[in-house]
Amino acid sequence: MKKLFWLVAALALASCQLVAQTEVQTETAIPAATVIPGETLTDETYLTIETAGFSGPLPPGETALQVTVRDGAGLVVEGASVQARGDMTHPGMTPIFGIGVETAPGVYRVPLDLNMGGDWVITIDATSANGLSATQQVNLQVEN
Amino acid sequence: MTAKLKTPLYQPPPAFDALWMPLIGRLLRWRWGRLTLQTPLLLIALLLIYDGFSGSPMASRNLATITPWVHFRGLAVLALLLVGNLFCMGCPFTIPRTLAKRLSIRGRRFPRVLRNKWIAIGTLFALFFFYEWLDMWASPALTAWVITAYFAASFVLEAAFTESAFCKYVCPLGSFNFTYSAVSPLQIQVKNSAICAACVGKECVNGSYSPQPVTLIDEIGIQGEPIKTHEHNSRGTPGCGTLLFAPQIQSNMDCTMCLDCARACPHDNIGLFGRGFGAELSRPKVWQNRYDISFLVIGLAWLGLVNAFGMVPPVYDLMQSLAAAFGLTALGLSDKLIEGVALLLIFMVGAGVIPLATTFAAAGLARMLTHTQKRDKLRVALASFAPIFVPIGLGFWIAHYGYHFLTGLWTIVPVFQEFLLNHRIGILGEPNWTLGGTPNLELIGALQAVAVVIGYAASLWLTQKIALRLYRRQMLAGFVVWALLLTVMLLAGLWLFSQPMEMRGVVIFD
Ligand code: SF4
Ligand code: SF4
Ligand SMILES: [Cu+2]
Repeated sequence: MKKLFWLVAALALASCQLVAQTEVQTETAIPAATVIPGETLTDETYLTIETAGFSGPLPPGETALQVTVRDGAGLVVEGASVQARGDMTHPGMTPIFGIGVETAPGVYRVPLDLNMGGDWVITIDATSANGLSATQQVNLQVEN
Repeated sequence: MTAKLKTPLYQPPPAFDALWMPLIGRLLRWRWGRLTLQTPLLLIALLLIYDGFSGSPMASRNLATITPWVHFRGLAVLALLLVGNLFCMGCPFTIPRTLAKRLSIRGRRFPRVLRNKWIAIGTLFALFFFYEWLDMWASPALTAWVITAYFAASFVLEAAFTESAFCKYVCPLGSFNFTYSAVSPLQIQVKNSAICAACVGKECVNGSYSPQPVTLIDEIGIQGEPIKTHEHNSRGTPGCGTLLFAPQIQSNMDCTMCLDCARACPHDNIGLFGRGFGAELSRPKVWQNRYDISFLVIGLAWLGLVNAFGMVPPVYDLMQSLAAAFGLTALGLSDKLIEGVALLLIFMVGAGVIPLATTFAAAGLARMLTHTQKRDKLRVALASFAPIFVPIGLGFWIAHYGYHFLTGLWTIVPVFQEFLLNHRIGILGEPNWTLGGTPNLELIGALQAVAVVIGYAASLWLTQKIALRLYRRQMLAGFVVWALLLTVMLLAGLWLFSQPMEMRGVVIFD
């Protein structure tokens, strides 16, 4: 009986964790600012990333993200290097990559080949010429 | 010229015995042979738990999700088809279990009412339902919890009961493996059943372990003096954990390929013999016409369809219309909960109502058309044909798991490289994320169709064999009924696997 109790206890514990997990998963973006260690957060020390180019589910195939990079003061950052990586939430799929091309001051077009239906997590990295960087994750869905 | 007989004397062909293969056979028969297989798998399991809890939360970049959901499942079904139940043989969950066995004071037997496959059917259903609903494939931590729960459950059940209750009655993976090891080309068998008849200790099932040495007398001379003896002692091995008696074994059902029986038998009378693919499936009464085993086998074939259905676009449309039809969206439930209810409905119908209704209908109809109502109980008419669901079911599973295995085969390499780098081990260098390139989906799709069709063909062949045995001259009527059901399943499978895969975790209801 005692053993049974422990089994039930272990299972209960597992299910709590399980519920917590699923909640975490549905949360989307992580903070887009990266602070240089040892420095306080002032306008000059961080970047932000804004994304556009998709709303609602996308069809599979070639698409492009619009990425705008700004500094802490809200001014666009020109000449940054912008890269994106797409992972499917299902394991076992090769990730896709895209390199941003600046189409207007501070605005970058990142081509991506969303080659399969399902949930994708796009991780965007931006690094400015003066070495500041930021990372942002975006979830998107591809429907056949 | 040496003299030669025109017709050589008859000699039965020597059966292939895996236990006498060079090197591998020796390793298998060795006292610690199983542990040698289990140890690497235990280390892998611990690594997965560790990475699952501490590594990247992204499933495609975590070993805990890639290894079981892409590689393990694919390899397990292939091994079942080509060799045997290798994953039960190397099962790491049973290592702490062996410890539990030592700790447990003379336990009880598993409750009699539970000594059947109904719990296992329940755990299989639950595993696949939660896998789909909670998107286990997308969550390394959840997968790590599942692995941990396996260790805990097998430990607790082993400590509480004398037999390996977890393997035989509870474990969903084991039940899957037991079912499909019916096709495997290897099976435990005795070499000479006359030796078993005279065997004193029946160590294959009782074991040769005894805390104090005990001498058993195998043969008594004319004067009553022991001519041949052997001993049980603390170095002995346990008998069959799932309580199979070697000379009676006709089926791989419940055999974990642990080989304890072969090690325990003092007369070296047990082998792991070669046999035809699926040989046991055409043996009469191989599963004693039991309902529980029949529905394990039948249910698994349908679960194969339902599980694959959960990964193609039409499932989302169906869930939407179910949610609308039952007014779930109007109730103000969360999307996740609505998805759960809709999915549960799909599972209950697809892996519950449909298999039950169709097999009872087929059994009843076949009995009626062949005029065997008086002779056969409905249970016999149904259970006799349960084996025909094994090949077609395995075809579905191979098509599905083979898809993930082939598309994701190389993705484990960069994930492992990244894991090492994150732990400051640079020997494998920078992760090569594009390794393997884009998989050839047309080719994989063709292979999937081949797997399903071969499974179907084997099932049909089995159906005519069983129908002939059961209904003799009336066999055609019996055959047609079951063949029709198989054909419906084939068409469902082909349609399913021709759909594009679309693995969505987040479903939004409108
Ligand atoms: S297999 Fe070995 S231990 Fe088992 S009954 Fe036969 S001779 Fe005895
Ligand atoms: S001891 Fe039982 S489970 Fe193990 S190999 Fe022998 S028959 Fe199979
Ligand atoms: Cu799948």
